[in-house]
Amino acid sequence: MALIIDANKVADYLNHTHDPANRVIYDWIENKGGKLVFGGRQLQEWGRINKAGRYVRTLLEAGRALKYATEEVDNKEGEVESTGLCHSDDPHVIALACVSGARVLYSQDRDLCDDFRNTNLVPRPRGKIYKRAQHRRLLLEAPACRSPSS
Amino acid sequence: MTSLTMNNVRCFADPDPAPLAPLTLLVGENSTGKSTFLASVRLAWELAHDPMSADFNKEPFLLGSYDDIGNYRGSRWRADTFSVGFSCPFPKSTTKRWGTELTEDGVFLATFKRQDSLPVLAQWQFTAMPYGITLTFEDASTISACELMSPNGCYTLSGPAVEQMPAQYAGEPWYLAHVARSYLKRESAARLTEAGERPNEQHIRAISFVVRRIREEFLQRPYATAPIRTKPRRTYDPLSLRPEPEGGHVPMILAKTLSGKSRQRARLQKALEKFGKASGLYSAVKIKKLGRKEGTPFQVKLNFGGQPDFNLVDVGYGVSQALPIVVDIIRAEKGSTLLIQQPEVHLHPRAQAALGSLLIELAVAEKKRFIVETHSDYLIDRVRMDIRDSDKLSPKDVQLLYFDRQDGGNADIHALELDKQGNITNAPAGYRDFFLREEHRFIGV
Repeated sequence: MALIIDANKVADYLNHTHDPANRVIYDWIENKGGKLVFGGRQLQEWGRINKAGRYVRTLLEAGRALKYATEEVDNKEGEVESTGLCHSDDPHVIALACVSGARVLYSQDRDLCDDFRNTNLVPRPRGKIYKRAQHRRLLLEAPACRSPSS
Repeated sequence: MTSLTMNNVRCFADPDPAPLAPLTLLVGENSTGKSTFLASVRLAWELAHDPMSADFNKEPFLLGSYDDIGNYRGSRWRADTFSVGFSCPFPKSTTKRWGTELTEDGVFLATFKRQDSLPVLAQWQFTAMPYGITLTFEDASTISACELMSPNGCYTLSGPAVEQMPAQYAGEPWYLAHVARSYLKRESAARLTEAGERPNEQHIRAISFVVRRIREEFLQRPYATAPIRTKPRRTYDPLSLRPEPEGGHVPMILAKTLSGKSRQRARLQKALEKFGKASGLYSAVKIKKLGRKEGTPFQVKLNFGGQPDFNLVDVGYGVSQALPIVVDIIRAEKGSTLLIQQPEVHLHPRAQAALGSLLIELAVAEKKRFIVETHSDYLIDRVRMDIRDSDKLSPKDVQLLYFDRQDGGNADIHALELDKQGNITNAPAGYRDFFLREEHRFIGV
């Protein structure tokens, strides 16, 4: 069970801790074996946000997050861009989904959400978008991601 | 040693054998059995080499009497026996020497029973299937049976020939082979035929080889450090170089090595300076002798680059606590095993991280084995980062063992797997829950 959180949601995720959508994710990570996925430019964007670096470190230390090799994600980002199919300015998120196998995204960016669902960009199983607490099933049914070293 | 086995030892009822790597890091809350694990590694070595001399109460590990060691079974009951052992790989070249192929791992196991509140050896076993030998002890000095395992099956030697075996020779492969041969020679042909499972000469040689090979696994006694190190002194008298768990010998080692002009001096000085700079603890370690004669008192001085030298007692306490560990791990011989408790005490995170780098570097480059009990995230994280960033390091060079207390007071050991990115891929439920909850609470969840 793996989730990608888009950098544009991070400040909201770490600061609006009473938002039901965020609380579902906290609980999913703490108690239901959920994992966040990081890599490439997405991780760098997280690192620029206050409190996020420490949070990522805590998750990585606890085995509740997986980090994918920067080079691998960056190379994939180049491939995604070269298809010309990506409408959003976040090809690194699409690349991370392709590399990791994560198929659930937490984002409010409409273009990115469209790209994430596009099976020509993110191969099947089709990507799904988590937006609110009512979408908790997406997290519980999210496919496992592949091991970063494989 | 590829894994350690403990059954009914203190809080470990029956955990799976715990895998070991060149650098094994023991993590978990207080009182979850990490020090017991380290004590068991040393005990297993001693038992394999000389079953009669195993000491359960030798610094820095004081395990107590039988009632302190046997696993608690409720009320006043303790387990009837407890066992300690290990497995080790056999080089592939040796596994086919004996006609029937050996399994790749040799296994040693010693089992203890209670006698007058003390643990006494009950059984002592070396196996590498299909070969093996089990000695059963009546008491500390009497062997009651000797069972030989071979492709022909199990054959038990008993009676006066076995009972008269001097227990102090019990662990010697040559002696075991001699006894087995003479016993089988004396036994009547009718009796042996009836048994039908008699090992032949080649089997006896194979059994003898198995015992010898397993005992050779540790060429040197594992050296254990204490969780606290001796207080620094302004001036030292050159007394003993004999290793002490609290590191009291290290100033003498430094004085001896750094005062000379040997190759050892250059090597130790270079390694100490490299660590000092990486950790921020010092730039150089020096010895100031207070006289010309050999045997005159001396002082340990530290330099921070450009400034005058400072006495060890005049600098941060962390330096005097780290120095014994650093010197011991640098000087340890290739192939040796060190059991280290809390190397991070009194150290700034920068120095803790540098210690992580030093440990993994020495474990891989110099083939030393470190089993380290630690609460330092900085040390562990540095090792994970070094694995990710270095082509010379592999996740297999490190084993993270997580000690977890279960309901009822027993503990479990989880072998955590690392991938090349340094990720933990099989964190069990509950692993670092405290830290995660604190972090969530910190951000206001």
